[in-house]
Amino acid sequence: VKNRLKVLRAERDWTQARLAEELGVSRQTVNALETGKYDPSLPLAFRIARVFGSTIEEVFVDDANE
Amino acid sequence: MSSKHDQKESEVDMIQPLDDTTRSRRGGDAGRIRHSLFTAAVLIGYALLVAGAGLLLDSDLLTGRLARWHVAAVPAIAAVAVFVVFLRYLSRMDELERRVQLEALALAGGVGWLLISSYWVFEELGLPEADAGNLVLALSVIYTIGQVIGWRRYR
Repeated sequence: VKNRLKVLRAERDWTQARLAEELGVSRQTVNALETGKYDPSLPLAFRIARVFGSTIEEVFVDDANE
Repeated sequence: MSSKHDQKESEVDMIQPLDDTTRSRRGGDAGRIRHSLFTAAVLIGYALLVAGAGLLLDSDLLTGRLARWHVAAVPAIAAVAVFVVFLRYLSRMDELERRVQLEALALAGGVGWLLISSYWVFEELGLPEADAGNLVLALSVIYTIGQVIGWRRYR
């Protein structure tokens, strides 16, 4: 699963630490999400979408659909 | 058009952002590091307590049966507090940190099981019986290595 986390974060000029604080996770977790090394659980994916005011489909893209 | 909009609204409304209390309780990365250091200190303190009680019981300083039982009971009572501290440590982790912990525990459990079963064969050949203390030490080392591997993988 690919994601637009880095782009969305950059659009808001947020640091990884700021996004981590918003999501209630560690900065390492945000980094792992952005680099695609870790796919979030559904609740965390919803929380990410909520933080960016988007839907899950706008943040995450299924590799198979590309 | 409305269905897509409604879907977006419902998805966005479903998960609320973290409230200030939750954020403050988690305390960000600094809070996590502080809590990890505190938990590590508690575990090291407990290990020292167990070692100290063992040394005291091995020595000739305590001869009374009741006193020896009291010394032996101290680590057991402290274990309850350590357990609570460790549970709090786990509860403050996010999902990736828990996954790293789970993988490290699985590695320690798997390798520990293999070590025990392999050494059991060597015991049949006359090697000394495995010391439980050494096993705990080996599991702790493997568990730590597992955590390092996990964090390197997701870094």
